[in-house]
Amino acid sequence: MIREAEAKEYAKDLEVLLAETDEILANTEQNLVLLEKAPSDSALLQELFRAMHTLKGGAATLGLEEAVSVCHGMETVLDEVRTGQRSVTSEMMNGLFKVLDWLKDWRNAIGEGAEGPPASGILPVVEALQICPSPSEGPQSNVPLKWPETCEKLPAKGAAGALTASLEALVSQGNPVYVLTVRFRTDAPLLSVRCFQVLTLVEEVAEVAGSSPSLEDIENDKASDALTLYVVGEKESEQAQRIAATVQDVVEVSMRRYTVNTTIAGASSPDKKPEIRVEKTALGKTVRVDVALLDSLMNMVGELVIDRTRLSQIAARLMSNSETAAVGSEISSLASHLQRTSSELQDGLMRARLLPLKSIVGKFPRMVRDLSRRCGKETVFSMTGESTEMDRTVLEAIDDPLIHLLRNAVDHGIEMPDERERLGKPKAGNIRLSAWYEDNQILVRVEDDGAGMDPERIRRTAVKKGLITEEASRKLSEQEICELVFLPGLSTASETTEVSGRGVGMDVARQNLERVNGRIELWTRPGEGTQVTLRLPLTLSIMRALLVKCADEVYAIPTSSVEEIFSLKDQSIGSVRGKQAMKVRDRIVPLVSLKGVLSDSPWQRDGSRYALLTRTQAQPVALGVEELLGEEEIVVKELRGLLSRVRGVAGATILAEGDPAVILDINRIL
Amino acid sequence: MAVAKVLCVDDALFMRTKAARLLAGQGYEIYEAVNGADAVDKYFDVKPDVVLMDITMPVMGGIEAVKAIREKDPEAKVIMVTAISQRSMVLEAIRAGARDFVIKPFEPDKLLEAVRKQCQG
Repeated sequence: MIREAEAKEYAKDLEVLLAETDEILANTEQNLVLLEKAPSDSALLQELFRAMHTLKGGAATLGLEEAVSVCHGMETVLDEVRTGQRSVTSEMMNGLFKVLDWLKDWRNAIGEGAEGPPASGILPVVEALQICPSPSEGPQSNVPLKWPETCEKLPAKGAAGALTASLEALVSQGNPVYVLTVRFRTDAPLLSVRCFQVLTLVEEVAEVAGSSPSLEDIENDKASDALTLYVVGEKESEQAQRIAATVQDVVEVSMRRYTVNTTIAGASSPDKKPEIRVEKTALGKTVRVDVALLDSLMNMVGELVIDRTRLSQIAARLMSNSETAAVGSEISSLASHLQRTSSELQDGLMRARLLPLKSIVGKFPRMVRDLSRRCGKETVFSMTGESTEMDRTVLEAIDDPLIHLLRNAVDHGIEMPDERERLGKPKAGNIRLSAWYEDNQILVRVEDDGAGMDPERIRRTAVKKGLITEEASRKLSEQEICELVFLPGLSTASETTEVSGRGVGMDVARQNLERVNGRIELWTRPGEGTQVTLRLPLTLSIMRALLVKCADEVYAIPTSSVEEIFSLKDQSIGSVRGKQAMKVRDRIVPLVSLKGVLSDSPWQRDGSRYALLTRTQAQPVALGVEELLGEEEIVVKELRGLLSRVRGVAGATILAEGDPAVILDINRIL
Repeated sequence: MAVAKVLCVDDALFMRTKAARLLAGQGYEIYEAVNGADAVDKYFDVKPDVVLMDITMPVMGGIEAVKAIREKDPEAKVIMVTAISQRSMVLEAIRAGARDFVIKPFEPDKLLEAVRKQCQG
């Protein structure tokens, strides 16, 4: 029984450690990349040191000695740098990255319940990094380590998450939190009572947000020779430190500021040294929810939205009759209340599905760095707008495309350093990832100041691969030619390199985006660089749509893709080269009918009474429809199987009357 | 500086006199009480700087005495003198407002240190 309880506790502790380790390793990776650019940044070194120290403490608590010795070695190296005994070299950076990779492997292994790689595999690397062997390390590095400094234990048990969350909440509210580590003589009697005494005395002068061991554990006589207190306020913490120091058997009280998981965003311009900005992110109190649950909740909200719309229609019918007008208006006010509630519910759920871009871009700086080295190029990578939030599904859909675009930028975009110098460009190429909101869309852009694309080469390749005829290719503008890279089977790199060529091409990137109603746009100029912009919808599940009638069927067209609506009789319809066109202010716009498009003869004349001016990248088109039924909020239902592959069909929805309607993606049907 | 006053509370004469002798040797002015109730009376009579308080005593125990004293004088500085087996009771005493504790049988230095700290604080 006891064994079982212990095992359970260990499992809980391990879970906390793994989560913390993920955070630490991700931060460490980012920080190492930054360190390479700012090798003497003491704040950065401090952060790295602290990360290794925390990891070591956690690993030691659970008896994971292999990682303890590796972290300890790392600490020594970082300390030597921090104290100015040595400076950062590129050789050293490679070593540090190697150690980081070992720690990642280790984390994955213990996460799967495996033993973890032996430290002997990496310790030679760690030792080679050090000037002198770690002082507290014995002659054999396999001996379990003991270290003299204070070691913060992980907050006890499952309470750890709650404690971290409440500390982060405090910090995010602008309350400075300090960590007081109180160490007692190891042979002191009644240690738990001493801990209790310290805690009680400190609580008289300051707010204690939490402790490790927790109060509960202390009361249950679970205490060791170290007590960690999380105290709110700087002055209060100093006072608490003084008071704690007066308690018998206390040998040391150290104090440091509590920092929330830090993420780094480097912003730089070509002629400036990379400027390092440390953004403190407060996560607040969070829970994990299965995406499937969110999806099903969202579906239910969708049903509610439909019911609400139906209710309003019933109310309208009732109100048009004087006998039932009273009931009608009652139902109408009920419907509008339902509307408010359901749209708040909708908003809330929508927000719950949102994640910041940060959650996927953390790995990019390292990736770009590694790629650049492999290609023998110099790059400065910067990111902005990582806190831009988007739907999980969207985020998942852009992960691979972004990787691909960054690879392309390094591999094909940025020139070799000497080539850049010859061209009068800064030796290091700039690659930037940025994200922002624009109207009701999210834009994510990858740009570089490299060589740009060569339209002539793309054209020749496309013709050679039979993707387009020589004749047709001659008619395309340079921009259109460059967009050929989105066709499957076109790779413009003269040879597929290890870096870019992994089978995920621009065509796959485009498909990924289209699956989430996104678009990909390309801008490139030879010698100046390339910009690829991903246009993404804010949300996927509910959209405003225009309902139109065509051949007795109702279709939904996302309002976001319609620029303007015209009544056709007011417009002069003419023809240009035998094709229908209409004049919109001073522009001539091709006019196609929806009926014609759906029956594959877009130019046929029919009874279209309205024209929708579409919002597309380059050339707007007027789409003629027979009847407009109005604008409604619709719930997008995903189509599965064969139907999902029908070009121009974005999904389906259920109308207020209960009939299904197809949602058209007019950018694809035209 | 005026001589600090210490009230030694213990029902056992041996312990009481041992502490008293030790502290008197350091120049403290010593008062003695034989149980909790006696301690509360003497406390408000003498107004000592520090109280050394046993836990298990007849008539009124140490914890109760701490509560009674602290109720009227929240600044009262009480050090519990306790056997190592009385963990939960010390905890209780601290909760009631005791500032410190020393383990019985006490080491002279520890006791003196504890008293000195309370006099300073």
